[in-house]
Amino acid sequence: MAKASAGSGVKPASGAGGAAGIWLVGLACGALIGLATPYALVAGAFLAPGLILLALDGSGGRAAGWAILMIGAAAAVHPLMALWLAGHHMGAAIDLVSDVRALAASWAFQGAGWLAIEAGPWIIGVVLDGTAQARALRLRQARARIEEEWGVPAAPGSADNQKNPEGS
Amino acid sequence: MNPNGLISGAFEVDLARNVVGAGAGLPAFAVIDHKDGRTGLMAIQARRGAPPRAQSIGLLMSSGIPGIMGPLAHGPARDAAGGESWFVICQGPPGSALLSSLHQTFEPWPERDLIEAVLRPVARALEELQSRHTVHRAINPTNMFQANRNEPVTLGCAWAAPPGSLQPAVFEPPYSAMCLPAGRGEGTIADDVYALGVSLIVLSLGYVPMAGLAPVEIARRKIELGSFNALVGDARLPQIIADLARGMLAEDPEHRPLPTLLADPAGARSRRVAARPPRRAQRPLEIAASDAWTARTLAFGIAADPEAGVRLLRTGAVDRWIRRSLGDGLLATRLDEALRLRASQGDGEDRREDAVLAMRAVALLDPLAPLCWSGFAFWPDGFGAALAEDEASGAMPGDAVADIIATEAMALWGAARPDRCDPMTLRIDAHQHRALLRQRGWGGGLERLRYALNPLLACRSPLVAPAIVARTAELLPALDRAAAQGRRGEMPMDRDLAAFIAARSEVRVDRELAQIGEGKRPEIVALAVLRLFAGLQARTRGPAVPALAAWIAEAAASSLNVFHGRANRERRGAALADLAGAGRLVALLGVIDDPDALATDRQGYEEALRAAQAIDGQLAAIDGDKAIRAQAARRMAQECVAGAGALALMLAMFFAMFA
Repeated sequence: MAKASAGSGVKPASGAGGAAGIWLVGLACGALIGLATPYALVAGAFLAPGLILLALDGSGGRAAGWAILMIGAAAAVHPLMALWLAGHHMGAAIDLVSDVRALAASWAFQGAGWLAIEAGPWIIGVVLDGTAQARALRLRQARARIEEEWGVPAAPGSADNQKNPEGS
Repeated sequence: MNPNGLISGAFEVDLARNVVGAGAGLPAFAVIDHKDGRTGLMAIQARRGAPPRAQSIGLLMSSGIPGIMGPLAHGPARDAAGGESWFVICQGPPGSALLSSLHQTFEPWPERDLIEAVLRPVARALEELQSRHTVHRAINPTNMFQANRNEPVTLGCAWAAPPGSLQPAVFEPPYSAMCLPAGRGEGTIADDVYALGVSLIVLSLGYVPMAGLAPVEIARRKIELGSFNALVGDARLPQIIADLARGMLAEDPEHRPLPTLLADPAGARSRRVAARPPRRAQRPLEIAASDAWTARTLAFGIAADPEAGVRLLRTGAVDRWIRRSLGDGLLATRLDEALRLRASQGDGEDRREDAVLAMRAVALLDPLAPLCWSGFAFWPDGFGAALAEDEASGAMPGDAVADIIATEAMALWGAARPDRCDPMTLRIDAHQHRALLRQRGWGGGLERLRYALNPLLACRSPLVAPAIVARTAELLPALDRAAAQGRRGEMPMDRDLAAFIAARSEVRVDRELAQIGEGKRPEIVALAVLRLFAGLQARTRGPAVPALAAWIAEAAASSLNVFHGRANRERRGAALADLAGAGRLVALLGVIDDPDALATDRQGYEEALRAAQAIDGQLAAIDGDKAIRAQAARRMAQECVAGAGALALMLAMFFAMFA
């Protein structure tokens, strides 16, 4: 929460920078499309899921979008290298984009990455909660031992205390 | 009682052998001396509620007086009824008593025998008693013993009951005879001289005059006629005996010859102080169904019927009679002053103030009279013994006692007759009595006063009954026996026991008794009882009391709850059970009352409390960190995927460039 609010707190400042960045990315993309259309086509096709997620990611820093884009980039290295070796022709680009298996593999990797980002917190949360509960159990046992040994009053809200609120 | 049943570790009371007529009115038994093997000893059995004379016994026990059966030892022992009684051991009588009964008639003794066998030896014995600052107070022919006729008599035992309490009224001065038997007080040696004088008259006459009369009637006759005239009447006595007896029976004790003088009868006869007869009124004043002719008889009438006396005083009849008929204006003025004092308390009916007025009036009218309160008379030095008497046996009722103490009547009485007593001492005593009576809680009140004024009065607590416990050293063994016999209550302490300990203890025990009296928390009460008894056992170097220790350990087990540490508590509980078996209360107390261990325990508890609070803080933090954990999980997932992506990108680029 604290971090979220901190993120929202800096939004106006980064908003201006972010907008400029988007403009710059847009400009770079425009230049890429205009100057290297085959590369833009291959990159756009192979990186489409990551780019869409980056555009839709509302979280500060768009960490999920960038992480998926990273996976997509790894999957796009091989086709882009092939385009380079094929002489930068539009036909080669269309051939590469038409390779459904390669495209599906790239998108599948990016989908798996998205799935990991969505399911990961739940799994990690279960692990973290389990660890915390185990520690709480150990602490409660230690407190029960102290209560039994020294007659210290039960913790507020504990079962013993609720049975005998006055502690008498 | 001594574990071996012996008094002072030497004397065994032989209950099978009665010594008839030798106990001065109390049962007497033969004694076996297991230590020195002495023979001819006897034990006098004291009555409950009539404690032996501690002071006189203490003064006379160390060395005997020729001609007196002095005390040798005293203590509790098994009695004929199967219970326990207090016995006073003394030398047995050398022969039979001069008289076996006061109602018998006998051959009058010749003058020479009276002087040589009775007067001289008894006077010498009294001289010795006087030098030791004590008195006999039981001189009469039934308590005088003689081995053979013409031999000097020996005075019997007089130590097993309050002074004068068993003395027939005829042998007592009228101002003693009119008192409660237990309230006759220690008196002075002049009272013994009086009793010796009456004894001489009785032996001269061959019978006991006024033997069948009630004590009050005897006192009335003696006051009306004078003791000598009341006793002798028209009878004839040997001249020397008559002269001696007249002086010895003077109403004013200061006019009686001293024992030293009596040892020389001729000298005593010649130095007789002639007392002026009391002033007689022209006409009598009727009071208490009799006529008062003198101030003394009026005082006696008011003492006998205080309500009628107060009525006469308040209507002015007494004032008129004293001024017009008796002609004593000074006395009338002093009585008027007493009436004004009464009027200052209000004119309404007030039982207590009326009793004060009657008491003052008697003291002013007859300074020789004892303290008279609501129909009861006693001497201040007999107040303690009078308190010890059970109400059922004719003692003063509790409310009269409470009034006497609350009004400091003894101080008022002393102030009304300052020439006849020490008013300051009486005032201090009265003030102390009142302070004790007003002391709230256990260890105070009438019970405490009763024990404080009677050093050998047995404890009345049912917890120690039927044992006789008159000294603190006997208390714990008695309680131990009671506990061993299964006579156990919740706590080995009650109000009587607390008062007994408070009165007998050499050290202040008020704090413990206050804790016991409050009785709010059983563990505090039990600890206070243990502290009290442990101190008692240590001071008296008493024997082990395992049954009592077990009783107290059981009651005091909850006291261990002051320790917070469970292990410490359990360890001490086990130690308590172990030590109880040894019967040493000090060790038992050490287990519970351990300030160092308590401080350590308190420190441990505080540390435990802090540790518990730290745990509570950590648990609260764990409960409150759920959102943070969720956010961390999300960040970790993203970072993992991003990391995996970055790694894949690097590998892809590596293979693209070098493959």
